[in-house]
Amino acid sequence: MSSKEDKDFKLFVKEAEELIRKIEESILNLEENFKNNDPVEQLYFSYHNLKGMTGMVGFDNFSKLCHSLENLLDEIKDYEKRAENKGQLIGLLFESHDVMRNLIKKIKESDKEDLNRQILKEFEKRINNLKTSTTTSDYDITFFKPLSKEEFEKITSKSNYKFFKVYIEIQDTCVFKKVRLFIIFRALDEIGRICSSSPEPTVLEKGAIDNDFEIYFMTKESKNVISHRIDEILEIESRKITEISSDEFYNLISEYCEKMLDQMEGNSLPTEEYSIDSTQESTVSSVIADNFDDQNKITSIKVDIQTLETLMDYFGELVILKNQMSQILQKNREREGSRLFDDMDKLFLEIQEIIFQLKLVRVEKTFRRYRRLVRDVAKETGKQIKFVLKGLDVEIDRKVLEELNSPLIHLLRNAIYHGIESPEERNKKNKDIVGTLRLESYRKAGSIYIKVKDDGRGLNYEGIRRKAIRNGMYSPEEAGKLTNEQLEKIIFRSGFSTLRGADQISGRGMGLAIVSEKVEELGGSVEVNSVEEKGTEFILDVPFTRAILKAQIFSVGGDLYAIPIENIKQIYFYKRENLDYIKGVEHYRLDSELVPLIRVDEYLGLSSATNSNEFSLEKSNSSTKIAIWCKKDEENSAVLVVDEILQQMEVVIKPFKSKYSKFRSVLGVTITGRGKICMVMDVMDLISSISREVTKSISISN
Amino acid sequence: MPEKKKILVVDDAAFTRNMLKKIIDNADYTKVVGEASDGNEAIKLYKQLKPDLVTMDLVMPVKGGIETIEEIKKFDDGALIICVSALGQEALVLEAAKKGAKDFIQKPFKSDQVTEVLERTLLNNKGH
Repeated sequence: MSSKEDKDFKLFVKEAEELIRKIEESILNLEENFKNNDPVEQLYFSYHNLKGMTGMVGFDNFSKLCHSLENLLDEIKDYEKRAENKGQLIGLLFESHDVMRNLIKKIKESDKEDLNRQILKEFEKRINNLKTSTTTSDYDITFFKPLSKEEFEKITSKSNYKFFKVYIEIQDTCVFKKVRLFIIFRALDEIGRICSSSPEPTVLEKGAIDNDFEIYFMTKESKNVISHRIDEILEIESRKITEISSDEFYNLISEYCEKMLDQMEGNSLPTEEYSIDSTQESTVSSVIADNFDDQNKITSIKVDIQTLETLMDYFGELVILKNQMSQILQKNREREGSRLFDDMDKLFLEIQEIIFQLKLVRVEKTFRRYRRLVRDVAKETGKQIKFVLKGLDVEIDRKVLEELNSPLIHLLRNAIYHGIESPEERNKKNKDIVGTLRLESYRKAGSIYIKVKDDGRGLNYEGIRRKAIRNGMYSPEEAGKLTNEQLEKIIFRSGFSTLRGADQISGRGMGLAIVSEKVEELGGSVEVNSVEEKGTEFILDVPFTRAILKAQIFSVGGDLYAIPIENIKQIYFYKRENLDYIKGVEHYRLDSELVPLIRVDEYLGLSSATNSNEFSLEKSNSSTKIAIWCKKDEENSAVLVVDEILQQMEVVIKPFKSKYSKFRSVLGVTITGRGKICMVMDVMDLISSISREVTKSISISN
Repeated sequence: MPEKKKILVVDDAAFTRNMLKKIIDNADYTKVVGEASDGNEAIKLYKQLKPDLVTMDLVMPVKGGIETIEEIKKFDDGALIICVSALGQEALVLEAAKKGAKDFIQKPFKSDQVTEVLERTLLNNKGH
């Protein structure tokens, strides 16, 4: 294949992928709002385009499948033509989508094979079935017109309306009940307004009645006119018309009307809630945002990101040189040079800001893709779920977002599997049978928060306790003492989740350890809040970006290290008399608090960490040691003991890719102004690893 | 005795047409004035004969019942149309009703069922 052909082929793959992504989006939109014709039209054109493309490249069967789907969509472009086949239609569309996606994936990996004929035939058969049944089906018999309270009051104040309860019994022999209902409704609709019914309108609309029902009907006509109208209709066994007061009438219709009006409102608003910040109109981000809003450019962005990474790297080098220059200027006390340098520094900051923004993407695309996941898992588990997305315009470092993908999938799946109950169970508990699953993101301080919240049964604390005992993490007595808060932490521990898949007694626990690991790797943390029978929320707190940060440099054993300034609470001279032990673990006394102590040299394995060694060190240079009080959050902090404290500076963190990358407490490396290599430590991780050990040591000592 | 109401029978099966014709002609107040075996013919005859009521088979070749109802309704909004359907065609009948069919007769039918539907429909829509 010539390079020209190769290029063409790549273009084909890229465009096909984009179309297929678009198709998925449209199917999801269609499923969400089945009455809306726009997604149908979009699908129609997408299939049409895909048909042409695949045909030209020679994938005839692929092209034929697109052709059949295109025809199908053309036939069902009116809502009535598809109203009855939602499940089948959506299912078929999704399945064919999956087939196409996999096919393109294979084709991309140079396995240039057309769609299997057998699969094509099967799809064609199903498509035809849908077609014939759709053309003959038009099952919507809505005559109900809900009425808002205000509207109702307006009507009653005019008082020329009368209100009726109309009881109707249809003959037992009636076969087409739905048609009969339609004819009755049509007759009444001509002379008044049908507001509600018993059984509920939704039931009547399906024709799912025994034989009798009651309609709540308002009209300016007299009772006689109504009776006459009904008597004209065939297959009616009996009827009873009662005039009622407006109050009674409203009582009868209010529940249904309010529900319907709510729903109509809900439909007119998209389920996602945007909180667009109009002040955020910096030119760069809006240009980027526009590009993202255009259709499906993720692939092209990928290239951009690589370029950006290079740019980032070079910029990092520049920052290092800049730091070196600053040192020289200071040393030589060059005032002229320093002034120029300060101006340059400002520009550096601006450029840095821009580079940050270039790396940012909105969470929208990624979040929207979860709709499919939620839908599929809900289907699989037989649960009914409303998936609400919020904060789609929040921007986050693309790499961070990518890394968050699997933790989020995990949490969403868990919420559906274990959190949200089956419709029957929810019904028993008097909950809305449709569970709500929320995925929200928002920014606060230097962090992005992503919340996965369900309104399910909540964590089963006793279950967790039992499982912790069974897994040998705690003895029954220890476990008995654990608070809910401690139990919440346990579910994230790697020993907790077992491969005994069938064991789901504790509700959660499907590898939540993986979630917290991943998030902590990103320098973030996971928090869980749960209320029994009300639901559970997981809050991921991840840094906005992690490339450049202000850090405190310090030295240990002659080497340089840094920690982010935002993690430092206070710096002290280390005093031995403040040392204390809790259950054999070193702590440091600060005011009234006892804080776990980390000797960085030991932690890094630089000293042999024996008591004698420590003792000699203490003796030789105890006065020069520094205690840095670091915090992870309000509750968790630690004191780091280091040799010497140096300057604070902006560091560019380079990912630390080596066999040491497993060493988790390192964010990356940077180069100081003097050109020395400096390891940037991840305080968050350091502290959590300590607190883990502390808990462990407690359990051992017992 | 008042003049008999004019009925147009539309059905692609001659057998059904004959059955309906017999029942309708036997009734005191109705008579068949025309028979059509497909939609196009039905529309032509409707315009020509201006019947008081049409019985419409829903499943026919060339032009189906639903489409035919639509076209007749376009020509004469007040047209009285009763659809004739087989068991299991509820969706189709409902669609016909939505397009403006007044009521339906279900195959297999008995003569009194047919006459009742026709009578009811004709009496209730005297205005037309």
